[in-house]
Amino acid sequence: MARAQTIAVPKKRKRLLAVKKHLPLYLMALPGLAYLFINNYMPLPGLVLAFKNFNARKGIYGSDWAGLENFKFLFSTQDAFIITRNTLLYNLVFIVLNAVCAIAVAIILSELTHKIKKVYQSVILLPYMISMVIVSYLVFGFLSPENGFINKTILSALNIEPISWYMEKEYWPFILVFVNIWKGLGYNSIIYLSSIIGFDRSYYEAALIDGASKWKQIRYITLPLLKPTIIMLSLLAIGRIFYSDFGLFYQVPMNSGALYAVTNTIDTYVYRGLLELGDISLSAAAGFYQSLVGFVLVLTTNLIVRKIDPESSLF
Amino acid sequence: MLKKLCAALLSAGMILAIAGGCNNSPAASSTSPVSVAEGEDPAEAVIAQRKESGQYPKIVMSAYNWTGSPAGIDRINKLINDITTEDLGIEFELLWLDSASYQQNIRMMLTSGEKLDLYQVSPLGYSTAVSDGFCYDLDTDDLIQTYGKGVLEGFDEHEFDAIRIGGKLYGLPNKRDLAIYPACIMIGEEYLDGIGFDYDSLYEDEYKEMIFTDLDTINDIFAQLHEKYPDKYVFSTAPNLISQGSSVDLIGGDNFGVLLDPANSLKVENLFESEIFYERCNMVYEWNKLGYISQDAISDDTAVSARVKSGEYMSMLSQGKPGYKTQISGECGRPMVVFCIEEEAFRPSSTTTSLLWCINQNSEDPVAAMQIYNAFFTDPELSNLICWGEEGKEYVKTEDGHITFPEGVDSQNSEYYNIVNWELPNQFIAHVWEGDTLDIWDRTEEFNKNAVQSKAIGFTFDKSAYSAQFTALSNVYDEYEKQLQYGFADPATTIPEMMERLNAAGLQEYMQAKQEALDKWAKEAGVE
Repeated sequence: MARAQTIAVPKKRKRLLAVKKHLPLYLMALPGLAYLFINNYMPLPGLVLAFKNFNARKGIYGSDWAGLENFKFLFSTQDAFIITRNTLLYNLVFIVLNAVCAIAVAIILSELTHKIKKVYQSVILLPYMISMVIVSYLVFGFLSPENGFINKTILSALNIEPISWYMEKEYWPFILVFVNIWKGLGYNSIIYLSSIIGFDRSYYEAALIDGASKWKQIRYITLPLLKPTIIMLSLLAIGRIFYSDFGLFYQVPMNSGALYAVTNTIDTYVYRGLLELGDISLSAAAGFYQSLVGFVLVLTTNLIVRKIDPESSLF
Repeated sequence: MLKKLCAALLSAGMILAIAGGCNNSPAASSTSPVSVAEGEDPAEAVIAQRKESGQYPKIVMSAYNWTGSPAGIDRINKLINDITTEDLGIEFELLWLDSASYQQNIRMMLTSGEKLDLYQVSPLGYSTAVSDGFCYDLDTDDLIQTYGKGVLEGFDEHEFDAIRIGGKLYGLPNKRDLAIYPACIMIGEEYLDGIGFDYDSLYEDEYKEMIFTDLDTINDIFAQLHEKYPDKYVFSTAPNLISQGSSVDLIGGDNFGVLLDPANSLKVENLFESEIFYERCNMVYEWNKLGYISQDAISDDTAVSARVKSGEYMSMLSQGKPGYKTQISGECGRPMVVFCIEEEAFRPSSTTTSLLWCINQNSEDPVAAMQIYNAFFTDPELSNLICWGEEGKEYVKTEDGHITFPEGVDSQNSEYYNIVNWELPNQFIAHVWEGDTLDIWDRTEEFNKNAVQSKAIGFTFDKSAYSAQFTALSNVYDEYEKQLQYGFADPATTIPEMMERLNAAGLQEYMQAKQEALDKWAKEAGVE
């Protein structure tokens, strides 16, 4: 681009040149854009369903308007507080702990030079590839009251009474956080690792000459350089703070009723409620509400970040 | 640049999507009205007209099973198609969909305008489908009177009245068992033999299908079973203690506000304060304390009968009916003995509307769809094809008039082996599979008629105005349902705790709404 400016070509030609230069990049982005377009933009007009009383006879656009009636059911119940609290608090904990753990693992991996590093990386990534349904049975293997590893091996060895894991809710906030970190760690750390690998090694060489310890290198070089990545990833996560990982909250506790107080989130609540009702408009309203709050949160967080550190803000 | 490109693409997409959503123009019926001469049957006239013009409408019919499309579906479809083209001038295609995704798929087909004319409505819920506008009004231009005579004659008038919503008929009934023997406990024969229990002398009926007994006897048997087979679980749990284990009528299809004495009273009452609820919960609670129930029950979603089939469990609870012994023995993979702790057969209100067929509101040719349903209802040849497949390939006749698998074919490798005939239009006119008595369908009709009838038969409850309460109530009940119904919670303390939360979630309000709807319905339907 810089060179094109100095040659002073006409504006139109300049643009064409730029397109031509980046053509391979555009082509590479094309499948992704097509996916984004089909999956995320094409259904947008369907949002209107949230404000309609859907009737197939009249079609999506012909159905009667319902105003904000469909949103009522999300707020008019006593559970509204619990599900909102669960969704927000779990996600907050996930955002913080996931970032901390992923950065720690990424730094450790980046310091490893041995060949075995690749093996570690793959092993950590493996849980991310596993379906939540299978994860739920892995967890069940540990927690099953009848044959589980914890009850039958650990607790019995320690002479502790077996615990009915799927009926005692106080353990589940920890179990869910642990499972979430275990599952997401590999993927999250790879993103950080890829930025760390890209850092200019000369910083570290200079630090080494000045006698900085490993810890000081991390503290004063790696972390500050990682800041934009951390902020960007956190921003993306905050945008989804009103969505919960359905599989985690529904499959892993085996949909056990006794645990609802600590496992019910907006998604599972809506799913359970609408599974029986089958009302398209109510589901659309719930989805609309989640997107709206997510959108507002991303904008606000970005605004705050821009106030504090304009360089790091997303837009 | 990229930004502009994106913006252009996106706005184009939005316009496209909006345009795409708008082209739902109503389709015209392709069976055009025919002028009928005096004394001529219009149903015959339209068939003649189709053949004359050579324009055969196509009807797509959809139902659900547990496994998705069977291997032999194309062959069966061709055989059916040959008959319908010949007899009715209608081309035909049957779609079998997997029950797990049936609701979503059908909803998608109904809303997107995909080709679908006739469908089994039960997974969507009949009243939901009607209020969503998915069902064609069958009285339009006397559709059912003109083209569905066989169906009309197959049922009493009041069966149709029970299906009407707001005076309009949207669903077509089918032939099946409509009543239940509540609270039947099935125990594997081999285990009873193992403890030396003499069940054979206890049968009172000539078919040796059911033993009527009491809970004490069951408790006694369970104690012996537990002692003899300590490595097996005695009882396989399911959350069906009320729906299948009692003659409480869960009107409107939920647990919130029920008829405790449906044969005599239309008073909506609270199930959770009833004696029967406590009794049933306490029954399994005792069993659980005695070690009859797996401690993993709460998180185990395996079907009850599949667990018995695995050989780890010895008994289960369900509902009985004529021929049930054969059915459940098949499902459990071993001969089962059926004990019933309630003596009277009972017909709840829900069975009337629970397995209806509907014609798609957007069907291009409701006349042809009605004629197809009528044909499946009246023509044994068609009913055999859709129920059992092709003779010689999927089944052969035995000497005594039953049918069974041909040489080398079994339930695993058969290309069309249905176990869902109860949802099809008329299994009563099809052959009887070996194992059931040949008079099974006469006995079923008898059974339906003689059962204690709920007074609320035909009542449906439109929850849509109470979706907030319903969602809240369901969420509370879901928390406790399995603990109570699988015997993990002491009903004496847990039920009051649950009641408090249900009341806070609006149980009384919901029950009152149901009572009002029921009273209004009773007045219109003339039920005292």
